[in-house]
Amino acid sequence: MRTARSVRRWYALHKWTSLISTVFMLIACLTGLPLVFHDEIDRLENWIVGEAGIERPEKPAALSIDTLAERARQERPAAHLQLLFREPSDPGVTSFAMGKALGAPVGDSEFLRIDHVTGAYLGVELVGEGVMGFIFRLHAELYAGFGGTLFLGVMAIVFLVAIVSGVVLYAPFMRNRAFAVVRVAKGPRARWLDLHNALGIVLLVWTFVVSATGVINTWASPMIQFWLLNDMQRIVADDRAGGGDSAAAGLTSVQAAIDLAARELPDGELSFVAFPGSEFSSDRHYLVFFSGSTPLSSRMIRPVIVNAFSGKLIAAPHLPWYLNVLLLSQPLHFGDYGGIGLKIVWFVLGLGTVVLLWSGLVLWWRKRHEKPDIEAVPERIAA
Amino acid sequence: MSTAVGRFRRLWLWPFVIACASAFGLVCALVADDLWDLAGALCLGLPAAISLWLLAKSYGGGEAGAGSAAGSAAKPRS
Repeated sequence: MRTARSVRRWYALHKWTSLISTVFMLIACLTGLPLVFHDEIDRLENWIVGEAGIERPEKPAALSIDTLAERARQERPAAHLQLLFREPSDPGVTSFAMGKALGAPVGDSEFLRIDHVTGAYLGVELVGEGVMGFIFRLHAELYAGFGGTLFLGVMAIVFLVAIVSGVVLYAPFMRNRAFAVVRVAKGPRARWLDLHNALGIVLLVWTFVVSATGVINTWASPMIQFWLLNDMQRIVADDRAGGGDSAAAGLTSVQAAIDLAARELPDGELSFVAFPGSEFSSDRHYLVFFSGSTPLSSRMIRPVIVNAFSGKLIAAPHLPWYLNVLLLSQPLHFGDYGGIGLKIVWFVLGLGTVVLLWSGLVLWWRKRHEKPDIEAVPERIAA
Repeated sequence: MSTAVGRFRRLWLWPFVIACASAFGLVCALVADDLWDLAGALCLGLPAAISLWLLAKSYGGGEAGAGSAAGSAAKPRS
C-alpha cells in the first residue's frame, strides 16, 4: 500500500527534479539528435568544404608511420606532433594532431589527414568546428568549458532521480487503466498526462542508460588525468629511476614503437599514439594504444608504454576499471555501435524523450495556469 | 488474490516486456556485429515504434492505447 502522503512526496520529488533538469535535458536531447548522425554529417560537411572526407577504400598502410609523421611536419613545420590516430570511419587515412606547443591541450590542435598509402596531404579535419562542432560543444559543455560539462553531469543526476520517481508514480497514476491509453477525448491535460506517463514508462530503460552514461562521460577528463597522474606516473617514475636513456640521442622511430607494441598485443589494432611531451603521455614515452578486434573489445583500449629515447618497451598495463567503464559508456551514450539501423532507432528514441520532457513542462504550466480538469492525487492509493 | 495478480500484470506486463527488449537491444549490438546489430535495432525499435505510435495517436486524433474505448470523440484542440 502506498499512502496519499507518500505519493505526494514522490510527486513533489518528481516535479522539482524534473523542473530543475528539464531545460538542460531538452538542450542535451535536441543537440544529441543530430550528433547521432555525426559521422555522416561530418563526411558531408568535409566533402562540401573540400577534398577531406572523400571516401577512400580501406587499404593497408604502405608507408611507415615515420614517413607519414614527417609529411605532417612538412605541412606544419612550426607545430608539434601530439597524437596520431586512425579511425574506422575514415579508412585509408592516418591523422596527426599538431599543437602550437608540445603540451598544449589536444582540443586546440589542428588535425592533419595524411593518406597512408600515397603519403598525400588530404587537408585539415574539421574537429570542433562547423555546425557539428557548435552542436557538440553545446551538448557537452553548454559553451562553458569544463564547468559546463560538470554542471550538465549534475543535471543528468537530477534527471535520473526524476526518472526513478516517475517510475514510482507510474503505478498510482495508471492503476486503473490499460497500458498506453491516451485519453484524447478527455481534454488536453488528460491527453498530455497520459502521453507523458506512457512515454515515460516506454522510454524508461533507454533514457536511464543514456542519462547514466552521460553522467559518466562528464567525468572523462578527470578520470584520464587521474590515471595519468597515478598509474602512469608510477610506471614512468620506475623507468626514469632505471636510467639507460638519453634525450640527447633524440626520439627513436615511432614506427618501431608501434611494431614493438604490436608484438606485445598481437590481436589488437592500432588506435592512437601519444607522442612524448603531449597531454596524454610523459616527456619521454610513446604511449601506443591498441583496441581489440571483436565488436566489444574494439571499444576498449590498452596502452603499451615505450621509452621514446631508448626504444625499450616499458609496460603494457591494463586500464583501471573506471576507464573501462568510461570507454564502455561512450557507445551506450552515442548509439554509434550498431550501424545505421540502430542510429535511426536512437534518433527516434531521442525524439520521444524530447516529447516526454516537453509534455512534463506543459503539464506543469497548465496546472499553474488552469483549473485542474482531472487527476488530483488520490487520497489513498494501493500500489 | 487473483485480482491483485491480474491488476499487477495489467499494470506492469508491457512495461516489463519493453524494458527487457530495450536492455537486450542495448547490449546485444555491443557484443557482436551483423545479425546482433539487427537484433539490437529491432529490440530497441520496440520502444521507438510504440513512442511513434503514441505520438501519432495523440496528435492525430482518436483514443490511443490498448483496450481504449472504441469510437472515441475527436481530439479537442487546445
